[in-house]
Amino acid sequence: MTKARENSDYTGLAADIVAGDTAARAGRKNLILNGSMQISQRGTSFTGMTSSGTYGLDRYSHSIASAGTWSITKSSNAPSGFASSHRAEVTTAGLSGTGSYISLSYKIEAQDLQSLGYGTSGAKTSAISFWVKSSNIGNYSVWLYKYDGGRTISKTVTIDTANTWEHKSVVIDADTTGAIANDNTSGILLRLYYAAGSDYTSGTQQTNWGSGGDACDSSQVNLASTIGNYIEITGLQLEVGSVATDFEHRSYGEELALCQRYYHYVNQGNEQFNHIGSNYTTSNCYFKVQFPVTMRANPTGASTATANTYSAGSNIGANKPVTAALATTLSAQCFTSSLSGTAGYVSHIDLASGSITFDAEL
Amino acid sequence: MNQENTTAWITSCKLNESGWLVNGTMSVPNDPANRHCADVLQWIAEGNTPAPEFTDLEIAANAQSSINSESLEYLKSTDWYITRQAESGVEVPADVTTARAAAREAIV
Repeated sequence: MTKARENSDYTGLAADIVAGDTAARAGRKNLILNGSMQISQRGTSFTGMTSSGTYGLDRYSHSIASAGTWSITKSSNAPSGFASSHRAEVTTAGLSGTGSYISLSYKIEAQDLQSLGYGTSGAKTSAISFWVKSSNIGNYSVWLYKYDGGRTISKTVTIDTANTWEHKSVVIDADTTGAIANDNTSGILLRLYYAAGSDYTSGTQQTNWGSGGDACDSSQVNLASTIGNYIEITGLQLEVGSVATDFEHRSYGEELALCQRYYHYVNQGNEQFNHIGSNYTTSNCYFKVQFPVTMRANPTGASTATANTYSAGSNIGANKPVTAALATTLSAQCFTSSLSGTAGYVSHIDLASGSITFDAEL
Repeated sequence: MNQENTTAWITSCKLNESGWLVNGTMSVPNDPANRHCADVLQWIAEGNTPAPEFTDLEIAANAQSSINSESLEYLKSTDWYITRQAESGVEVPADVTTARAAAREAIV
């Protein structure tokens, strides 16, 4: 057995590991961030979800169109070895129209996918695995979309027993056509469909890399059919290799830092006293927010925060609004307004309520 | 196939220093790698036009705010003439008196 295999956490038969697998099993194998669903900077409960693009637990959003209303929670219900899971539950039933669908969505940064070797003769097979528990048994579709070239592939997993944790895996073929650009944009979109209309199920499922086929199995479960239907997922992993191996656990701090490349949350609790600024005018004070890690791209800044601003021993603005103005990948410029200070003075800004967020999600 | 970038979430958009202020609270940078930027560019491609950074009323208000700040600063910086006159009887120079009066009148 090679050193790499000795270091592997793979617990199955060594014979299952084919040539080329070993490097990926030696560590840092999971291409998914927050696969154990531990990190949730935005909160732990999200209700009223009816449309795409809103993030809940870090790195995870949903793609949804005319598929009812859903709530998302960070659940403490999880299989042995995990502390949390991602739970989606129907709060208003309904899958209306042939183009309707709902899926869990996860986008992977292109430069993190170079180990797949796509677009070359050395392209690698990969494996997706996860723990899942649902109220509804049947077939669910795992769909990948490659942004460069627009190629897709879809695989099916079957949940056999309701309300029971099951471990599922699918193997994703190597794709020798179409390289993934080595940059900071979206490389692959991974979806796990909870339900889909006939536009995505009535034709031939795209089970090999290509284009034009359906995203879902024809017998795709309709989880959106009834209020209270749910699905819980954790331990999501994408790794190079033809066999799914045990989940790669990372420390909470490491996982948080990895997620902060895409989203950074500032509030009274984590950065109340950390801001020094200068009064640009008598009424505005500018200050800097330093990001803990370099963000993927210049982030969108948004603020619901208020602050107390102290200058020359006085509170020159109690609970005044904070605006996120400019941001680069390393830091942001924010300001408080409606102050009564002196231009040019240094000020100390204490966040009083609300939050400032910086979003560089894919 | 929907890849998530949509424009339906954009209810208002105006120019700002780094790109656009969207929905009144989101400062979206003009960085094509930013997902919101991609949506704003799509929204513009659909025929929409971002509002200017400031309305005429806001421009006027900002200008008055600057005048107020400058005038207050001038009054503060010349208050010592008044104090000196009260304490020692030394007259305030005429040009200072005139300028202070103008500063007071300028403040709204």
